[in-house]
Amino acid sequence: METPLFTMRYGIPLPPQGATAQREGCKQAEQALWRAYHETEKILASLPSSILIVNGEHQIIYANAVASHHFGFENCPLVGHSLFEVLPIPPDQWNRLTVDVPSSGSPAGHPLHDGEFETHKRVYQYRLFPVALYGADEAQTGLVISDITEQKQLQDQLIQAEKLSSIGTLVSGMAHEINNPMYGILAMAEIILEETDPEKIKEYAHDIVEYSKHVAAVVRSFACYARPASGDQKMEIDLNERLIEALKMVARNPQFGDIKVVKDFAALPPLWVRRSEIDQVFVNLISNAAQAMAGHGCLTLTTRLDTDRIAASVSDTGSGIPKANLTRIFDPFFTTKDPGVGTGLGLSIVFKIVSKYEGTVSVDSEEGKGATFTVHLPVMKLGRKEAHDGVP
Amino acid sequence: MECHRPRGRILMVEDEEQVRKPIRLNLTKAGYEVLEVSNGAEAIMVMEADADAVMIDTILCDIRMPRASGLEAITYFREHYPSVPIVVLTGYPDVELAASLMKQGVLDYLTKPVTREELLTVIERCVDQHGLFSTHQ
Repeated sequence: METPLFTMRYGIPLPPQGATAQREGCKQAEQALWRAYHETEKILASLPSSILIVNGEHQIIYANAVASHHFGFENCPLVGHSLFEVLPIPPDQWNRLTVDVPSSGSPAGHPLHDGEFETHKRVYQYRLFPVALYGADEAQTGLVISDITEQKQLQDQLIQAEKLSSIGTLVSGMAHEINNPMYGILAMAEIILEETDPEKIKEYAHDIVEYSKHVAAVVRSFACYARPASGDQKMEIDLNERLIEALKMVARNPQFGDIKVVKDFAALPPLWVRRSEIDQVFVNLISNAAQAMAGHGCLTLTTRLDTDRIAASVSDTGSGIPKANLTRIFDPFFTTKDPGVGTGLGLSIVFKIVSKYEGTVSVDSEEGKGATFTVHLPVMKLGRKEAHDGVP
Repeated sequence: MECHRPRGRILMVEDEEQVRKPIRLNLTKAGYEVLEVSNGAEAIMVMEADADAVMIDTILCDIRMPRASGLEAITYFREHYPSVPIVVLTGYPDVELAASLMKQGVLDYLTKPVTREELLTVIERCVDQHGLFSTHQ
């Protein structure tokens, strides 16, 4: 029986017996190793994502070919550079994410930690995973980085489409809000035409100015809401103020009826966000609450500051959400409203926007006893606006 | 205006001062007496307080208002004061709503913004009709 040059155990060649056989075996083992190395490199290079491994000092110790291409390092090696020189990831965001990444073992069972950044006009998502390289004393962290620019654009389009559909229902409120002062303007002008008392003419002209300002303010708030989110820049906003604006927008609608509003606001630090997106979140939540109450009930808007997060709740005393639907309400196109009333996209968009700012949205409801939606958003660290510029 | 004699009493049910003020000015100038309330519940209260003394010739009523909408008030007026003409003033041109209001006995339907001429023509017609109706009774 012929003895094999080397036997395989778990895919690893074992040293063969005898001097000649050993020499021959070593050569073959070396070739097998090279082959394995090149194959691994090829696989890593063919991945549509960049892979980086960094050590405890944030130094890149491995980069696949895609990474060099993505981040403009085609002609010089990425290895050896500090991660922060290469990617616009703010160090404090990195430290926050890596603190929970287990130092070794498989990431299975651990939630992947991820974030986003923008560079060279492209948006990237990165996910972290723990790496335990053979012989290394310290823990390493791996990053898989994917280009999500197109996905982001699609998401922005979807957000805009949902907003346009909700504008349909807001328009009747706007018509009401504009029609009244418009009538006032027309009628006062007619009255002025026949009035001879200069004092009265002055008074009526003053009314016209006030009514016109009112129309202008309504048009401005709607135009601001309707504008595509991708067009406006992130800015410092006061969430309490945005809740009041969102409420005004929804309350204009005649269906708002006699709903009583309770505001319980805490003093809040500013948020660094796109204003129209935050408006969209709360216009959505408040309209849903109003619809659930069908013109009668109590709407409670609450804000709180829990250390580094802002919590904003929208509570209604409406029909509540059946238990069976609770897990599905954030799914796109899930709706219990009559055809033509809702697209089923509202809450899924709320979820998307809130997640984009590293926030969460939760619901607490019992059938017949109303519902409370709570949005948690991380507080902007003052003086560290750039820390949030990673969120496109 | 060509006519200076007191023409009648109008109950205006409208929540916005921006609308009430020009209507009040126009109707007063045209010789009408104007009673103003800002919602349906108040209108019902005024009518119930002293029905005989009020003697309204025409009710000019908005539809969408807080507290007892115009529709609720109109149903009440039709039931209790069937002879008083009602004119609806609304910001929502809605054919179906207009048709159902006419069926309820609403005499006319004005869409904001309305010109003074339209307003005065409609009010005059309603007040005249109420005068005729009262005379026949």
